[in-house]
Amino acid sequence: MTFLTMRNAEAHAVDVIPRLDGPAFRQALLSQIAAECRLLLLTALPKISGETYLLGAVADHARGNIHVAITPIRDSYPALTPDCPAAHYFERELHEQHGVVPEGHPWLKPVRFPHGVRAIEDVELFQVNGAEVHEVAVGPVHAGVIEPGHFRFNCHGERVLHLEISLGYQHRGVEEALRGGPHTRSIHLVETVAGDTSAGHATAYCQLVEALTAAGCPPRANALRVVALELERVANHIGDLGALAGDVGFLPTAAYCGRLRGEMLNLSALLCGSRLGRGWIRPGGAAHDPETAVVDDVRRRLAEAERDMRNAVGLLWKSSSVRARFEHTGILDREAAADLGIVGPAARASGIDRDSRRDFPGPTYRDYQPFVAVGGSGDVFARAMQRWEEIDNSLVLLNRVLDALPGGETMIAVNRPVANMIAISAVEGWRGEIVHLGVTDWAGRLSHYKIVDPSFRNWFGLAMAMRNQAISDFPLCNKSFNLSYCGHDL
Amino acid sequence: MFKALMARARQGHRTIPYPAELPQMPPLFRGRPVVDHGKCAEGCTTCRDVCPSEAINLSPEGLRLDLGRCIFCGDCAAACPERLIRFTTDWRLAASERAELLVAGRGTPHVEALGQQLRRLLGRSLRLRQISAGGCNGCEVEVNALGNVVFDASRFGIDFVASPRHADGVLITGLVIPTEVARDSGMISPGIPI
Repeated sequence: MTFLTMRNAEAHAVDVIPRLDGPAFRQALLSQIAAECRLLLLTALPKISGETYLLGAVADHARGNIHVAITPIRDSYPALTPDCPAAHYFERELHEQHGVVPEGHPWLKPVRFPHGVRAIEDVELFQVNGAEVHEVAVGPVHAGVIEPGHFRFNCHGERVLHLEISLGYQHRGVEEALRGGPHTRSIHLVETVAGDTSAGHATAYCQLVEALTAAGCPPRANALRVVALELERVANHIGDLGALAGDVGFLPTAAYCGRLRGEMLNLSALLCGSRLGRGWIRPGGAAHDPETAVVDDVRRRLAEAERDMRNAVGLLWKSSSVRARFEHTGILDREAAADLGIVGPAARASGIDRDSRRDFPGPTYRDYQPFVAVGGSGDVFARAMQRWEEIDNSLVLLNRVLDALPGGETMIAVNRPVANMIAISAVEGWRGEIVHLGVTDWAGRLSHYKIVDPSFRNWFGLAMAMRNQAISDFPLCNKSFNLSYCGHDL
Repeated sequence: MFKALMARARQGHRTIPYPAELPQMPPLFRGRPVVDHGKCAEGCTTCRDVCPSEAINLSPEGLRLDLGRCIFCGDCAAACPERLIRFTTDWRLAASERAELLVAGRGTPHVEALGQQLRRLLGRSLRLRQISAGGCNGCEVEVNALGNVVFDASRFGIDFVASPRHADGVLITGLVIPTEVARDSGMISPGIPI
């Protein structure tokens, strides 16, 4: 057998993962990718009997399967990137973390500059040469209240030929800190991988730990997790629609959506005490069990906010000046999005019909299937419209869950993880698919923990969308993706 | 234009009446903690064991909670067998001195308003530069929310500016990396005291 076939958040013994030799591993991954599968992740596992193993996982969206295989790697191996561009970031990460050289990789540029290895200023960026070509450097420290990150535009006049993005300024070492766990800090670390995606990362972690401990999640807690995830999605999408309106100077929608984002965050605060959904989702269930009166209050306020959202966002589509700025700006075509492995609303806006909630529902979304909207034009307009359609679908799902919230307990005890197991957990966060991978050692401790935030895959999508755009459209293009610095930097 | 005006009427006035009325936080909100001093069971270390950020100090004088380290997760309150730690919905957590962040008993008094001299100096304007120092973006999104129509911090003269050179003060969020690192990376300009 070439692969171990797993489902989302399902534990398997590490021993049963097929160990392939280099050429067979490469052949197996590439043939799956040629057959409409998607590269889920590449990561080096801790040493097994003195050897470092590269783990490759591909996702079969049509069947909901995740295929996994490993291969021993020493100093170098033939890079996958030339045949599978989506591997480019993973192979750069592998090179940075383990010194392995994927031969034939076009450019092993640093990803996060882990402490002591290389100074963050010591980075070569791609440069365009020519008498009339100039560069514009932006960041790492930005003018607004935003995280640090460096952008270098290669321009010809106002036109951007290429955008180089260099991150790593927010690298905190989350993956390293999770190893050896689960411990008291673990859940708090995952809640702050990306602060605006606390529910997303907490759910991915909890699904994983519950798989590794052979525990479950009570149906009521599971429904509450869906509520947390969908509130997070609506809050961020509506906030971004407001910010997009602000970036083109359309202030009514910008002002209304800023308030409406807050209304969504306040619903999370009502249910768990935190606007960002912290302290809610816990291994074994959910830490807060709302009374019926609170649930009714949430439903009432949700219905009110929905009416105001329709009104505020409706203005946006009816304004020709807004449409003129959104349409044909920052196009990411379907082919580039598919090749680069772009995920989430950005991928769907480019016509890629993939959503982990439907394709890999796992325990969380098994009983709560959303309707998945798919766009096509891949421009700022498509990404904005995608956000709105996802709000619409999330509100339907939220009402469905809240109308029939299952009864019973919300928390069950969770034991230590089972020894020598592996599990992969995928959750569709508001920015796109979040993947967590965990491997336990002989004592049931997490010997390896890997996080793939959607921003890790999507930053390069922003760079592609900026090609041949006016540099003045960068804020608008950037906001249409709204990617995370800390989620990328970990 | 007419549609925009209709929407304006519909969306209404949304700015909170602070400070005329103090906002009510939801019952589950975890604000200023209260510690029931000195009633701990002999040898019990449950709260300290579950604390993810080493914010709890147990000494013969009793339990002390350091808000400078606390992340307000509430794990200690949930774990305490005697229910001696409680998070109230009081959201006023500012302090002027490090020592004021140590909670033992009923908590510490709220921070005092700025003195006459500082207020004369600042007038009706307080310009702040925010510095991201290795956090999770949670503080950033909430600081940005201060500018929305609900909180509208600028009505009090509080604004966030693009450079420490334009600022009266700095707001640091995140794990706080050492000052030297912040200076080296250009987050803080040399010569500006912090």
